[in-house]
Amino acid sequence: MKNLIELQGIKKYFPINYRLFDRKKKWVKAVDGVDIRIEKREVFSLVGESGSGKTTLANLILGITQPTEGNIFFKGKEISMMKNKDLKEFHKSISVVFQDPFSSLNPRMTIMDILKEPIMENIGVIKNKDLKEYINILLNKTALREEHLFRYAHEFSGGQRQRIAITRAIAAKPEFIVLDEPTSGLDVSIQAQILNLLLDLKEKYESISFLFISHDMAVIRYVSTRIAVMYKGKIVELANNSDLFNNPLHPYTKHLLESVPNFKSINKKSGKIKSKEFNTFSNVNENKNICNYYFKCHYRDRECLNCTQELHFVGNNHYTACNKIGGNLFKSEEIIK
Amino acid sequence: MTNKLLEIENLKLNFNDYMGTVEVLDKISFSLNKNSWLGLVGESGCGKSVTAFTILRLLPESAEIKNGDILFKEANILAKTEKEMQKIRGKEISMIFQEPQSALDPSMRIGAHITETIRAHRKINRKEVKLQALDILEKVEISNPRYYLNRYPHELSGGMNQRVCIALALVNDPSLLIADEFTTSLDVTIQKRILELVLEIQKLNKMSVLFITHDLALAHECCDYIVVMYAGQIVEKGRADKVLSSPAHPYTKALLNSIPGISKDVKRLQSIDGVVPNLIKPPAGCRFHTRCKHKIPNICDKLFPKVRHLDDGHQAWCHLL
Amino acid sequence: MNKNLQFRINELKRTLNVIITTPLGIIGLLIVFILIISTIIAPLIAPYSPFEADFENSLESPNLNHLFGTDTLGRDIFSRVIYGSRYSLSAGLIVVSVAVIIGSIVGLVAGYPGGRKGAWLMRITDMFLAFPTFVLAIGLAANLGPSFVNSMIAISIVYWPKYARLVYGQALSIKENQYVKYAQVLRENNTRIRLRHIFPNSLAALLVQATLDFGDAILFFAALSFVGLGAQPPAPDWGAMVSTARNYINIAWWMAFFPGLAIFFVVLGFNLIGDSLRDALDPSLRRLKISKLTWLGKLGDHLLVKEK
Repeated sequence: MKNLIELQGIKKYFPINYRLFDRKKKWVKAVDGVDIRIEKREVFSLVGESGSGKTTLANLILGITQPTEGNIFFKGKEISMMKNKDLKEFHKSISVVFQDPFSSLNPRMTIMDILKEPIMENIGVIKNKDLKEYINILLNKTALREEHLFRYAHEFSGGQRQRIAITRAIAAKPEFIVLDEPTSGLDVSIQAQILNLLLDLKEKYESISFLFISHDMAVIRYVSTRIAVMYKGKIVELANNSDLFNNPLHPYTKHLLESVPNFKSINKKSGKIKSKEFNTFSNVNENKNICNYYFKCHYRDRECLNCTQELHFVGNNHYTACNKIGGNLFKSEEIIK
Repeated sequence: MTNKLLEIENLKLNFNDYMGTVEVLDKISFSLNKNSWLGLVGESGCGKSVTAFTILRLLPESAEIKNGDILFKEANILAKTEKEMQKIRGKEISMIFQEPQSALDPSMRIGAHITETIRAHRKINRKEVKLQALDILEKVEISNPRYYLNRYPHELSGGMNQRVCIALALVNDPSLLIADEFTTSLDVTIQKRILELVLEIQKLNKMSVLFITHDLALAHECCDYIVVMYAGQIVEKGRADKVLSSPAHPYTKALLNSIPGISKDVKRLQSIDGVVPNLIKPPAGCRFHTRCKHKIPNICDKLFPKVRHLDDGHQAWCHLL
Repeated sequence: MNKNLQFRINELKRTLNVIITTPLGIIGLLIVFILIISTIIAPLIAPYSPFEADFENSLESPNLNHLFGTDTLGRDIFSRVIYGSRYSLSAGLIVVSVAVIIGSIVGLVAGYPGGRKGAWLMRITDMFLAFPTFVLAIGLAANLGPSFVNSMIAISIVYWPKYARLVYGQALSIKENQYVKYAQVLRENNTRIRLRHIFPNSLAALLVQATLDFGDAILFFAALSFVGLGAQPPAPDWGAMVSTARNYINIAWWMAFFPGLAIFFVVLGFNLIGDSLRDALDPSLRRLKISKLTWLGKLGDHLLVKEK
């Protein structure tokens, strides 16, 4: 089957406890109904700003938290229904690279220990000699050297630490790696190194998929196969890489693209419509049916006060949750070729 | 009456650490005109933030200014006493930082922050101070300022807190605003709005801005002039559009080639091999020679290049030119 | 494996190096060094047996034969003080070790994964902390019966909550790190995460507290012995010696003075080490060139591995 990982109707709500005795419980809807299919050999990216739910979604896939609702499928089998053996296989085949190169490596462990950890947990006990050989192969893949093995993490720069984190992620031969903002804390020239390394790894390994999470549209443009744009817990647009950038079909995606600083616009003074910033920093939604993006949207109208925000298929692997862009051409369920 | 608001000449700064003497800044010279926006760009560790702190004389005890002059409004900043500096900070020269959460006191209300800043520099009665506080909050586009006057920083989002910090910096009408990566911690859509806000205010007040950033594209959006730093030295400077469209120094070129963009064609990014050198024993000659692909042996690693004047104020320091 | 070992030795050297470059750290190390040496080679340096009575020479003031004088039974106080170091050292060591072990286990279990259960465990621990330590110790020791071992048990029971709290606090902040998250993704069980990730990173704070408490524990033990609940006579324990000397202070000040002085120096020594250890292990403290201050520091630089 094509799909390595599939999420259906995933929701994650966090309760807000204001007072001890509150009749109505309020929820923060971190992830609010997400459907995703990740295929083999692709880089699937999640773009969103803070509060979009992308990190929560990553945590759900990694199993750090459990979904409030919804199902996760691995190679066609549903996770909660899996037998122990299959479950173990699932856990072994997922790996992760986190954002902060300074807190993702244990300062009390040598690099050797750090690389041994996933091998011992996922592959099992190996003879010392074989272990050494294997680790040397790993180091080669990510341009690290053997003398690095006996140092501590804090002796390395941010870029090198991220490289170590990536080496650790591929150590147990995973089929799927989640990368949560892997280059956000790095200098631009180092970021280029890491991104190129990731692309090279994707070529070298036969069947590995990435879930790449970022807020940086330019980085996403460089690495992705397919992209999902998230806003306040929902996916608002899903498309192939070039389609999303050449033909964005959701107001939020457009807004994101316009906000990216680039070298073309001689933008010393942009006479655009400025909307005042609203003080919303939670997902507590009182009016249940209003579109999440209503207050900041330049394309809104009456209909948006009552919108299902479901993804419509628009053609060529392109889905959007809004039909205001492009006028009346795109109504729900219509397939455009 | 010169047009130059700020002039830094040949600044050399060391930190005396327990590990050794760190040569943080070397031969830093640039000037900032009135009503103009200058970008100080470079990667982490190049010394751009330290330069800003040197202007404000907010350096740690281990810092030692070996050489150089800093002229602000034609007066030498380095010669001023601490008391004189206190009159300047927050009034003539203001600063905004990267993390608004740590720049604001979590135990003080927003209103208290603003009134404290106003009263530190001017003698006004309470009513007038409150009016000015409301006024400045409106100027930074915080709707319903009366409500926010009584709120604590943790009740506001990152973007709003940054607006408050901008308000604090601008309330006493400074001539120079130093902005140290002030959009880095914000979401990109909010970053754009905040940047537009500061652009507007700068034009209105005819203020000068020293904008410190590692984001070259961002610098292109707002800067008139740009100074590129590497490992404590200036490698290139000139008009922003000129430097960024036709860079002369190998470092600037390499930096521009390593930035991903959202344009139609996607080229392979070029990375720069190696790491930033340790500034305790900095490389001789041009400090970039250890990572430069075009290094000329025996020249680049021995002599610091003389300045090359390209047209229209565009200068670069490289032996290859 | 060899490289690994060599590497850890280097790290130890590095920490030691920093202690040696602080003048107070040197003094502390010296004192503790003397203490440990005298404990080990006591029979070699003590001129007399600590138990040997010599009534003819009782209550002699310090002289060439008896450097610290003699007590009511004619025993040499110098020898008794030297042998007394054994009691103090072992008391401090055992008490702190037991307290650290129990406290760490409780703190780790409560701190990771934390949550409600952990908080409740800490509340119970807090109950122990609510008792005035000395009163509790006296009560326990009195109940168990006055003896060397029982007093150590009593002090350990009084001490462990402090470490539980310390480790709990450490665990709370350490588990937010992404390397712990990574271990969770690997589905490591709780015990492994506690032992491999949380505990090693709490060691720094734990070690500093334990070193500082060493002196405190010795003092505490001396106090218990002073009231008759610790080591029993004729044991040459310092606290016990001060206690019996109470009645003779007017005529034989040396009986109380020298053991008391010994207690003072040992506690001081451990406090000094604890302080400089804290400075050494605190990554946020950037010190100026201190090695300039002491020539011993320069010697230290030569003898041991230099920081890069």
